Amino acid sequence: MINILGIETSCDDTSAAIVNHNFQILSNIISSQEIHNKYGGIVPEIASRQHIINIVPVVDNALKQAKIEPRKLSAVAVSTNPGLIGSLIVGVSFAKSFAYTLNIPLLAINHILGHVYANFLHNRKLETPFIALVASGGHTELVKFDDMHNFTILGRTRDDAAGEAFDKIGKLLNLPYPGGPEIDKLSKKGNRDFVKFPRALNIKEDYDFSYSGLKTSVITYLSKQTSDFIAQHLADICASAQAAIVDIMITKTIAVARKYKIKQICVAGGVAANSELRNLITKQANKFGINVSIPEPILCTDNGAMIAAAGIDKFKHREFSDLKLNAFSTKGIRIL
Amino acid sequence: MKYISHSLADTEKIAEELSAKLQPGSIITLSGKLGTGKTCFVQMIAKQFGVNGYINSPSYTILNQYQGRYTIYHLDFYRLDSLEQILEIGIDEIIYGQGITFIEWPELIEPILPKNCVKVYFRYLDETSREIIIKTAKDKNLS
Repeated sequence: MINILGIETSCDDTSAAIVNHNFQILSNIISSQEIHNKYGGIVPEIASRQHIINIVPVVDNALKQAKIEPRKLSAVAVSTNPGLIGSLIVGVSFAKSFAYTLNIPLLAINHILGHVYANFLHNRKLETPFIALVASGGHTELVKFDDMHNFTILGRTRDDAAGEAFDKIGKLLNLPYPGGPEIDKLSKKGNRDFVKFPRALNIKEDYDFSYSGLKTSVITYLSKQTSDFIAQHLADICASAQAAIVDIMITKTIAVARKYKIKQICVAGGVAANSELRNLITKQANKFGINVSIPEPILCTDNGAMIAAAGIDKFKHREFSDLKLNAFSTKGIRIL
Repeated sequence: MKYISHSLADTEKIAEELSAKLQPGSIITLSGKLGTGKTCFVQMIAKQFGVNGYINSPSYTILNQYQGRYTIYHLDFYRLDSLEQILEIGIDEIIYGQGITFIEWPELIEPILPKNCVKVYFRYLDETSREIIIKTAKDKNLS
């Protein structure tokens, strides 16, 4: 019996979860920091203070809900990078003290790899190889997993991340923060072909992303319209911008899977909660006989369960960290 | 100095010209609305200093750090709303260090920046054109 406590504080959510060796979620507590909405973004200094306030009750809740006593835990897994340094430090410091007190192993987890592991919580029978599309506020990466220890990054964003594009376009359209879910909601009533925004880097065998130009196209488009027209066609403009963000991700992910003859795609990260992406990538990949795994939205956002899930493999391979472990903010999945 | 750039190639030339004047300890602020090319300009200058690979927008991460001939710090205060928050991330160690520091959305920190920093202003003209104004401490003494 393995029970892993997973702790995640890389951005604005304080989360703790307990997952067992069958990738079964016994609890997954996420305390979203409502305070951020007021500022139209995540304010890191406030984020770290809130994490300090939240961390103990959140872990306590996770243990109670799972009906697991601390001494029954096998290990503590914590996201160490990438993320906002002040926020990461809160989770890492807590995890270190908890592991030390209980005398159980400490497991350092890359946050992006954690997102990929959410797919094992969604589908316990998932097998490598697969292509993972990880898209969030800070990352857009296309990664080929031969197995869970051998992976290659095939594409990354060259400027803005997909989630950042959603949020900044939301800001240009004066939508409430976060822009992603708002655009998703409005787009359902809009026409995705209303404006033809460019699909950047739509080049064969180039798997990088670029979303900065799309932002500029939206600015150029909006500058030519009256405010009445924009208000009237807000849903259409949202749907068109969303289509531009989503279409290119789908095209490239499927192209990579086909190139390497891999029959499984896993989608992860906050942007995987986007309904247009979920619908279209599944439909289009299935045409080529490729399966798509997308965890339910709650497992796509930052959560402790995905960190605990990644911890299970590390625990089995005895990849323990010592108490010198530190948080660091380096980007991407490469540094584990 | 005021420039009008009509293309990425034009902007690249302006970036090259500015790079030649930068040295360890230089601080460059970049002001302008969303989508006016601030991050793009930093990418161009960082390349001049031998940074290879990806230079992404730091809007979400606040600080990205690169190693070229010098350490390049790329800061972005888009999501911050007070000077206290900036101080909390240890900004003094960065701006008084021996790297080259780029700061997007610098308005909050301007009151405490050294007088000799380079200020770059971007203005959107049309889809491919931008007005770029570069002010150095020397320019200010003249005006």
